[in-house]
Amino acid sequence: MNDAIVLEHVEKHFKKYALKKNYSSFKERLAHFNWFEKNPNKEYLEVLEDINLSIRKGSTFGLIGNNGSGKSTILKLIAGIYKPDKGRVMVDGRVSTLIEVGAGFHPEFTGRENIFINGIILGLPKKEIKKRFDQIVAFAELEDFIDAPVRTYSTGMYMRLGFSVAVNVDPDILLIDEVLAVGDESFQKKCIDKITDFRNRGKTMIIVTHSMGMIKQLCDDAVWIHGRGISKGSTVDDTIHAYQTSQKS
Amino acid sequence: MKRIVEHFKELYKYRALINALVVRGLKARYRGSVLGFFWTFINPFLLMLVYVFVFKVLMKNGIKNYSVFLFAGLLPWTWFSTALTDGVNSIVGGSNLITKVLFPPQVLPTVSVLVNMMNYIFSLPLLLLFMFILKMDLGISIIAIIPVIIIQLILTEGLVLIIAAVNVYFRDLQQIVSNFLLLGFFVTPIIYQLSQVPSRYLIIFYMNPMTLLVRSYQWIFYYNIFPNWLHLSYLLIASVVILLIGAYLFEKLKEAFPEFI
Repeated sequence: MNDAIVLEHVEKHFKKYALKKNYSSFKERLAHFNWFEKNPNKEYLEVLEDINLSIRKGSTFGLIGNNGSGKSTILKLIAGIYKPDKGRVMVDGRVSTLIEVGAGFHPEFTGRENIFINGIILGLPKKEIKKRFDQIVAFAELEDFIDAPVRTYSTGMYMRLGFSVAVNVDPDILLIDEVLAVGDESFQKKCIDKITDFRNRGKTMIIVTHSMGMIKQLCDDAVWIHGRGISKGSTVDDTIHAYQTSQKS
Repeated sequence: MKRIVEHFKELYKYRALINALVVRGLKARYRGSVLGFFWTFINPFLLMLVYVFVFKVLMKNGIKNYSVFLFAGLLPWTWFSTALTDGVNSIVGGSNLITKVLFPPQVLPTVSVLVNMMNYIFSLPLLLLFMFILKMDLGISIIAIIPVIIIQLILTEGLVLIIAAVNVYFRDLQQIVSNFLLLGFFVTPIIYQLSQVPSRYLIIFYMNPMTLLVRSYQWIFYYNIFPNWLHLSYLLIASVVILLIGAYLFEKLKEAFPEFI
């Protein structure tokens, strides 16, 4: 199998009321006299319809599209956080998600403690974390603050730590959702270097971003997600061009 | 059935994460406070002083060595009730993990139960200290504490799995649970003895699984006798059934968690 990820006829819809709230309250029911009727808010919002996608092992794949077009939903389907309503999602390899950096950080705990817990959450055994600890701290440039509680960190420091843990988990497949706009220019450059290094080692990456420059620079394949479906030009530039043209009209 | 087996396999597979989160939960509770871990002893001690003042001094209930009697039942009740209050909110409150990282969500309610169990175990020296001060004997029956704790663990885990999963879809549950726990505290023989209950109300107490557990702790620590093994074995069976129902329900409901929280 040469594909790291295959999506076959994938469909995902969300119950519309789940987007607002998952019930109509007692007060509303009283007010509208629908005391015992079924929930009136029950509608479906189709986000993805019949998505077919295969991503080669070792490729860096870009997902572009407007807000709410379903880019993050695709990432969550690949990560296994969401289950598809129809179709199949097949993933070959260990996945690490950078959907939100520092998910699971606890503000009262020190950077050191959070590295261990976050590493375990992302699936790395404690021994491995110990081995990579210095590397993680050095990459995040937090040597002087590693024993301070993360609540004292600036947003940038927090993000750097989260990013550093996730990339040092050393996954086969890395899912990156719009988190590269992290930190100052020098740190961004480091992130890009890290991603390039990942690519050179034959890892698969999927990047969601609004930065077309980044897609051009990093990706060897890209799709544009729009109105429930996807489309794709013959080259990355074509895809970007098609997307940008649609934005102007 | 396969799903239930899978449920527990996943818990075992993620034991390192559970372990890390339990340690974090224990530390987090008192992190940043000056007395830190000592609050594990101070909190139940202060609570006991209040109860002793009200029920022994003001109401003169006549139970000898009341502090030990009270502690024997109050500490496991605290484990039970705090586990349920933490647990009911564990999935909803853990949304930043569940929607962002892939891991079995049953880890979170399990951590609520285990953190409070560890807290209970850590508070036991306080009980032993009072028994020592009051020159009470502690015999071989102390070994019965292990099966009693295990039964309480199974029961609490089962209940927490059910309420944590249902609370995702029906958020009123957390309010209902806290009210039930308040009621439960007074219909469990913690501050009084079961023998003080008029016989026509006894049925309520026998329907409450915590009655037998609390009494078992009292038998062990206060009366220095073995608990009623026959009754405990019934409770064990009931608890295992609740745990299986909890695991089944949780597995049924968990797929849609990320979309609802």
